[in-house]
Amino acid sequence: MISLLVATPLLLAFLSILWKKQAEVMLFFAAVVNVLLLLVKGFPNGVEIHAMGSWKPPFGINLVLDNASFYAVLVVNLFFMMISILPGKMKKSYTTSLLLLLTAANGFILTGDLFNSFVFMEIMTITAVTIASKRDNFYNSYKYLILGGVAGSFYLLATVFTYAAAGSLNMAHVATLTLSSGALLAVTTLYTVGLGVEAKLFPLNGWVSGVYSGNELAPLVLGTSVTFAILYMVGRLFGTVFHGNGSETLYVLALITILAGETAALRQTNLLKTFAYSSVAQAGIVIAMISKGTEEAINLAYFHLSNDVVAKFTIFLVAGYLIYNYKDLDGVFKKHKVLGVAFSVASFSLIGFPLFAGFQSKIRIIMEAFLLKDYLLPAVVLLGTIIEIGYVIRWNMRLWFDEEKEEEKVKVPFVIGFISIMLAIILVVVFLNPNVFLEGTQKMAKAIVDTKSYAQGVLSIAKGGM
Amino acid sequence: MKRFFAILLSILFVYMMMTFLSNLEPYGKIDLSKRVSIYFLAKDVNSVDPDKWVKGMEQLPTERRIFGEKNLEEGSANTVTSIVVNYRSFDTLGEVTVLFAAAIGVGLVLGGTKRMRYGREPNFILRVSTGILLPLIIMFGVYIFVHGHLSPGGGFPGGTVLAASVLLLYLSNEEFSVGKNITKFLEGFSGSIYIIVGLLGLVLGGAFLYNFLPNGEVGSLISAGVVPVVYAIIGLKVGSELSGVIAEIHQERE
Repeated sequence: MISLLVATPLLLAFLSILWKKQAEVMLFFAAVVNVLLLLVKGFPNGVEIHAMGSWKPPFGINLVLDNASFYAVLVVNLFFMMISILPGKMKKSYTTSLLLLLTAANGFILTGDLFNSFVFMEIMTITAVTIASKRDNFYNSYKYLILGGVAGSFYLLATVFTYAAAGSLNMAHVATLTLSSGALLAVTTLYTVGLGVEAKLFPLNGWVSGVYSGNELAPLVLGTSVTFAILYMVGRLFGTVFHGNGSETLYVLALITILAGETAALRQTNLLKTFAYSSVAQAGIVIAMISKGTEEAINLAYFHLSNDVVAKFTIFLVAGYLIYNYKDLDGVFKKHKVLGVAFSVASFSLIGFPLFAGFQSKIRIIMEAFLLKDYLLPAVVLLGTIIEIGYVIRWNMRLWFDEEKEEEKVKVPFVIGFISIMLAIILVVVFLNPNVFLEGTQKMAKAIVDTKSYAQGVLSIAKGGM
Repeated sequence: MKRFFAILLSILFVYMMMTFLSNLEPYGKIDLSKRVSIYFLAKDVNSVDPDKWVKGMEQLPTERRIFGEKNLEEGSANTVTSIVVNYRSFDTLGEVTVLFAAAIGVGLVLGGTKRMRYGREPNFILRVSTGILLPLIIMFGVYIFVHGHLSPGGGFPGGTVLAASVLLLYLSNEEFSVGKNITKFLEGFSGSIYIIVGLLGLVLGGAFLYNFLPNGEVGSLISAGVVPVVYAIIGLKVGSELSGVIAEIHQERE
């Protein structure tokens, strides 16, 4: 079952070259099959592996499905399912790249092998660059290509160092070995840089504003599923494999990321750029919490991430659609009330306004930080929130109440309105009953912290399930 | 200011690498018995209990496998091949996909329709020698990927050599152009065959990319199970992909 999550989209990606016309159906089919496979399976409540080619770990490559990777893979596939039903105009001729990106994100999350994860990260970067080049956004995607390439080489270098120090590439095996402190420092620093570009960590996030604001498809996939996959890997590597070593660097960088992201967002006059920087800041909060390393902190990190990706998907969907259909956005929500409501709900959820999901995660994060006797993170988060309120209110005022320009009303496809309003409802539901997400993230955090049973599960099962 | 930061970052990077390099084990003094690769060299993975080995109760392989032996767990004479296409075949599938993704990106970004012309007649010697060299180059490329499990080489270099022949045709003939449909068809077709081979392994042996064919005798042409099949597929795929990229580069928008 686990290998099919990667094999199905990849097979369909190759086939979509042969039958171009059916490519969109294939994307939908791949995402739905994966979601169904996962839903039928349910939380594995343990570690299940699939040994590729029947070579047992640590000698061969293995895919790992435990509570953590299950939740991450489910989120990624759900988002891809939503992307696959968006109108064809939005993803024209990029369907094969989207299928490859789905393959890569699934493989990246599921793999239990460091070099293998590098390979999938490479695919992810290249397809993401392809998608970012949509609407002749070549210069920005070129910048992204350079930074992604540098990140990839750092990730590879980190993997080489790990192999030199540990003699193995298997994550579970590396986690059981005690590396020397020098080797650990080298490996974790290089992994920080390698993951930092995709995780939008300061100062490696220069590409974000250009890529996210260049078209309507890139932020939808990069800001949601890819971000989730990368931040899952941050937790997996620093939490499970390296037992929290090197997370001080992550913590400091994450705090700077929050402040830098929010202030940059405040200064923007472009709608997509504003929320691109805001997503940088949110990633900073998540990484700061992951770097704390306790089970509750990691749980809240992924809870916040789940809220953030749902809100971001709504915002980028609405904003991306409107920006490319209107010359001037002032007062545009008077024409599109449904989209407007969804957008406002999502943007207020980002601030952490009561009534919406963001409140639940932000207040919990601040309380947890106080419990851990850390007063710096709450200060930074609150300061960031104040800045956030500034630009969110400003944009909402402008989009709702500014003088309307006399432009023809564009007909919005039903799917876009439907998805955005559904996600907005989910944000309210999560506020009322946070357990919708917390149930999953709690299990996820538990699995990430528990190195011992991860290693046991991978290494002692000679043959896994399908 | 930008330059100042760039210099600062570079210095920091060099300093970082210098300190990190001292953590690496010195060349030639690595304790092989602590690395997983020792079992790849001995073709002896199946006999190890991973749990015990990880805990330090080592079961080191006693003998090296030699040419002409039969019924080994892995039958290719080239150790690199046995690691790349058998023990870690999933990585190779990933690398093939990397190339595929890159080729698609090149196609979407360049996306020309008309063959670019340089406006000069190719040299007589170039034209004649192309006719002689072309079959040799193609034969050499095919030889490399067919013998991938016996000698250094394999699908990637073989496919590159095949694509070199297409490049030669482009240089020697102003009119020549590869049909886009042919390269796309070969790409998609060979890529899906690789996965179908993997899925066959899942059905027949219970694991994706399982080697379900007999391994034969080390060193003979028909040996190493699915490895030659996979390498032939990779050769075709890489060849057609790089030919597609070459064709794409020689195209311009009207």
